[in-house]
Amino acid sequence: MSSESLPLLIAKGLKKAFSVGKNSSLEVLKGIDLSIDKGEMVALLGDSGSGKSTLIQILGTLDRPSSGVVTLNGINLFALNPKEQAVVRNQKIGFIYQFHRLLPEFSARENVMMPLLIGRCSPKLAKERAGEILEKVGLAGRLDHRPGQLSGGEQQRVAIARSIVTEPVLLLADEPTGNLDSRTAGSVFELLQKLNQDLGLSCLMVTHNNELAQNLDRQLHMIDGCLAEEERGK
Amino acid sequence: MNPTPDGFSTRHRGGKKSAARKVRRSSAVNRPSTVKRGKVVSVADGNAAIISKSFQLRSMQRAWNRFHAGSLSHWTTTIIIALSLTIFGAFTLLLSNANTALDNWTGDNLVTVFLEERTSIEQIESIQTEISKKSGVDQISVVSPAQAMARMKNMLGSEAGLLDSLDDNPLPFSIEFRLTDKKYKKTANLVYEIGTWQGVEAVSYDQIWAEKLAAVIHTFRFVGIALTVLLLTAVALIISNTIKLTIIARRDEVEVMRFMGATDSFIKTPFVYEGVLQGLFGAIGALLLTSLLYWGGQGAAAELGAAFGIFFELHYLQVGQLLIIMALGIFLGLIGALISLSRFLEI
Repeated sequence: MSSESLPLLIAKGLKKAFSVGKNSSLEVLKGIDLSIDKGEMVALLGDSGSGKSTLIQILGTLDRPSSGVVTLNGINLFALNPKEQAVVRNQKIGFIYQFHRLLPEFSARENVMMPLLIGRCSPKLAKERAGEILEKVGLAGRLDHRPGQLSGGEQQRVAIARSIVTEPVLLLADEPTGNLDSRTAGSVFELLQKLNQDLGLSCLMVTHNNELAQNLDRQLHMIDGCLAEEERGK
Repeated sequence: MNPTPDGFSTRHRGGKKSAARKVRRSSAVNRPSTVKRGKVVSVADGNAAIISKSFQLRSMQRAWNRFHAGSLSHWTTTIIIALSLTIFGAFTLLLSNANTALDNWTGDNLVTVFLEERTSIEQIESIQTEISKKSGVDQISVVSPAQAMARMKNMLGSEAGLLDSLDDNPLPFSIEFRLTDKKYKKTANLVYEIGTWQGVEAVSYDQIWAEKLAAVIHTFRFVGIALTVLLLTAVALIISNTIKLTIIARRDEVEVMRFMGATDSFIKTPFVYEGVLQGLFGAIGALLLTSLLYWGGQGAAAELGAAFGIFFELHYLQVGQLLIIMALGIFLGLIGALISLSRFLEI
């Protein structure tokens, strides 16, 4: 099978346990099997504490599984050394969280430039590129505003711009609309769908909003560390 | 070149096509490694060297920016380092000068043999001859009572008139000599032996004071080293604590940097430079404070020297000693940062 026909992301037998005290451990993920195709948008639903965020952290190489394998474009992510994983995060994966997590002392444009600068892009090109992306998310007039000078929806748009500026293949979104009112949440969600259509970006989105989740390609349900159910959307 | 407020750098690659295309093209040559066909490959060594150099510069700039805009704890730590290294510098200054004084003092190594009042001229010559036979004896001379009286008047200066009321000169004959060998035990043995000879009233030698001073210096050196080790250990822990507070304050930034793809070294290096900067500035502060102590202590040293009857000029620390203080500051900053990073920044 060629790599083109393989799913973009494959997770097999993912388990994650945290030690609690000396002799006991808490198993948060109990053997997750998951695949996401190129350009597919998948919702991840589930109660708080069911392991959704831990799964996102592991898929993004920000945490290691106790056992199991994750491949992205055929690359076994946990066979890479930390430096190589950092390169993958920089170039192939975008992250969006419930809180924008922008660096407060930098302007919107500088925040968006950051992943490019980490990836050794020249500041001039990074500045141009950040400007283009911010324009694409509807913030052309907010380039030099600091996060504190932006509304919640605008802050999240800057965070989205930052996550896609290096043209990743996968977007991992942990409740990206969880901190927004329903109207703003709707517009941010529409932006993510538009980016998916325009850029062919795959996305795994943790959400508690069933209504938004129904508009994605698939919905996965996380129950007590297991992916218990899978439904076809749209 | 447009460094950001965080000091990210600055190599520009030209081109007139769209920014997006240029970014894709430049990233292929600028990144330290990239993922191709399922494996991570490294860029050419030469390119990596350039990246490495600019990375260090960037890290230093980021550390400087953090330090410059830093919290009160940064400056408090720097002042603590400065004060601690000043104590070390002051001890070094004191011991170094005391050693110099000791060298100058023992340089005389004069032994005076006071003879009994009734000793005959023949006996005096015999004793002088015997002393001359001893090894290391130099510049031997007999001092007559009249010569001794003249010296005493000279020492008393304007008070010399007091001696005019004496009917007879009470001062005895004496024999003076210097020892080329300055070892205390040999001198002490010789002095003891001469003291037992017939016709010898008493023997005095100034090295006994030097030996006392040497003992005091030895004690001070021990106390100084012990205090310095304790202080510097405390300083390293204080630096470690300051860096820990910085890490905690910047935990969110560290996590953001991580998910944006910053490598561990990219995240950690500025903290290391931050520690080193604290140490460096602390050391510079210590040198300034030590200079102040030197400047203020010159008068006191001259008075102390006069009290002991010697000309004593305080000398400043030597270049090697200054470098040791600088190196200690930097080393402490480095150790403090590394302790903190290993304990509190798990990436």
